[in-house]
Amino acid sequence: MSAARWRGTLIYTGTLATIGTVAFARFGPLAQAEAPATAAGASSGSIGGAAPSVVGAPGSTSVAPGTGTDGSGTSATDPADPQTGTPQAETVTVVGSVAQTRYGPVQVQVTFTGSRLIDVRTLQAPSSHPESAQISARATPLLAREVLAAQSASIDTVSGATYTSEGYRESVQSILDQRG
Amino acid sequence: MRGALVVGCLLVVAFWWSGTPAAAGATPGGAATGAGELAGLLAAFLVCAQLLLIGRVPWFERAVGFDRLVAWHRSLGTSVVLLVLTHVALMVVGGALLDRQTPWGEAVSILTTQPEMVSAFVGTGLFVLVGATSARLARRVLSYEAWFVVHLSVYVGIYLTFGHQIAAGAHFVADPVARAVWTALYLATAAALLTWRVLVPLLAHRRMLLRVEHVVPEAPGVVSVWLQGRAVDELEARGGQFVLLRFLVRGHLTTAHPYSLSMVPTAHRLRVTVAALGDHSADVARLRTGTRVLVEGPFGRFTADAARGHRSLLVAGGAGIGPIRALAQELVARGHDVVVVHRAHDVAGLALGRELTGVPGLRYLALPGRRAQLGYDPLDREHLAAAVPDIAGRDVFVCGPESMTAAVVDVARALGVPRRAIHHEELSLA
Repeated sequence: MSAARWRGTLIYTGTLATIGTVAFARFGPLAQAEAPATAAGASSGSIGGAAPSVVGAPGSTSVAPGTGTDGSGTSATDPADPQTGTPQAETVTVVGSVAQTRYGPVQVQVTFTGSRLIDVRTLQAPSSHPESAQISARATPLLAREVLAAQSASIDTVSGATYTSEGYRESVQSILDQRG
Repeated sequence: MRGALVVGCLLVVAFWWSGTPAAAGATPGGAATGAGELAGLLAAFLVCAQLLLIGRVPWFERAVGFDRLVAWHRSLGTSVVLLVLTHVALMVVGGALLDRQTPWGEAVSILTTQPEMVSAFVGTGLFVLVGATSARLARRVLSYEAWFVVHLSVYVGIYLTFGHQIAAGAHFVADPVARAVWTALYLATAAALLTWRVLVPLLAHRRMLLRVEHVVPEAPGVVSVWLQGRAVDELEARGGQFVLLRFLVRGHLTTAHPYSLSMVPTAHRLRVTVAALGDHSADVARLRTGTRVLVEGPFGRFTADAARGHRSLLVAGGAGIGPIRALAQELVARGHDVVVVHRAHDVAGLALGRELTGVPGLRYLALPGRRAQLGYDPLDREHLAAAVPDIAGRDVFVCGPESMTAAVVDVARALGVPRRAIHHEELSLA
């Protein structure tokens, strides 16, 4: 009888310990491995970036973020000296600023040929909650397509991904602003 | 049983593991959220286990026994409610860390932005209410009926919280297979409950049309209720078992109570003997002839099958004589050598004693009198050994008040009865 009295509490304590152990086993090694990487690759310059691991949308490679301290920068992908290339055909990739949303940072990279937007990639999208990752995975390809179609930051909000859409617009706009 | 529970929990953990990217735990907030999800998954799984434990599932009843299932249900209930609260706390704190919000702000934003969260919130409230009313302290104050009605609301709570698992649960949103399996788990649980807690009793009722035949006073505060119906023997009830009865009359409708059979049911009759102690039991004495009765069961493993040998000692205290009387009947019918020791406060309290005297193969030993008046305990080591000298070679069945049962078990152990030859059952439903 007396053993059974506290069995419920014991089971709970045991379960809690299990949850802690399992969570540590799952997350522990990563927290140690990731910590220095986060420090080194602190690209965004934002305060306490929510997701240090850059989980891009499908189709995007995790391109090293830009060099600017404000989180934006320009890099020419054309290996040739830009001066020697044909001015019209100059291909430039610009990394946008990090837009903070309530679900996490959004950062976009746009590749231009001349003044034409030819490629849009998502460097960061909300992924801290697994739900957010789901939403991002669905929304970012649509947003990228919209940007290409509009050739500007005037894009429609993807339903169910209001914040991500806003962040996307902001990051794309920062690129367009840089390009003048 | 315990093994199945552990395996189930391990499967849930494995499912969580596979669905949680290690990257999610890179921040304290992400790790807290991940752990919160695991707590939630485990709680949701254990909820189903909880329902099945008290779902009158025949295989569980046979394998474990109703009393231990109820005991497990009670223990596990604590864990489930605490796990639900842990889940909520971790999700809110984790989310607050991720969003750099205050926990309050995060709680509000979870409620307003995530699907099915408001109903989940209400459902959680019901869980907590059910948990709180089942705490030992609260149970002392609450009547069985009030507790039971509150307990029923947990079904609403489960229904309300199911939505958010499927609609907002990170592990289910993107995975149709997981969603299907999880839904199937809940549907199967619901089907089991409907079958064994609703359908089977109702069908049995239609078949048996059980009614109160008459109520017979057996001793001060002890009455027997005779029930009559068709094909009662189809219940296959055994001596020592109990049934859940719901008298279809005002005041009894909402709750089914456990009653021990005080004789092996015949083709058309069964009898339960009740100590008229609580409000409810006292009402039983006033039941009218012809009152319809719903029966569930039989339950319990306190039967002749538990006997290891052919000689038994049955010790009854107070109303415990009911199941002992039925058990003695069955053991005698099997040709066992049976001794019944019957304790009561006084001679008048020796309910059903008449039925046990003069039975061939049965020695009936009435031990009336309060310990204070006798100056000794007739069930202590010395007296029991004198009354039943060959006790060490017998199976010992004990039924009576908890303290008496515990004392007799100790004495029997001290007199050399092996642990496995001592049989007793907690006669408590809640």
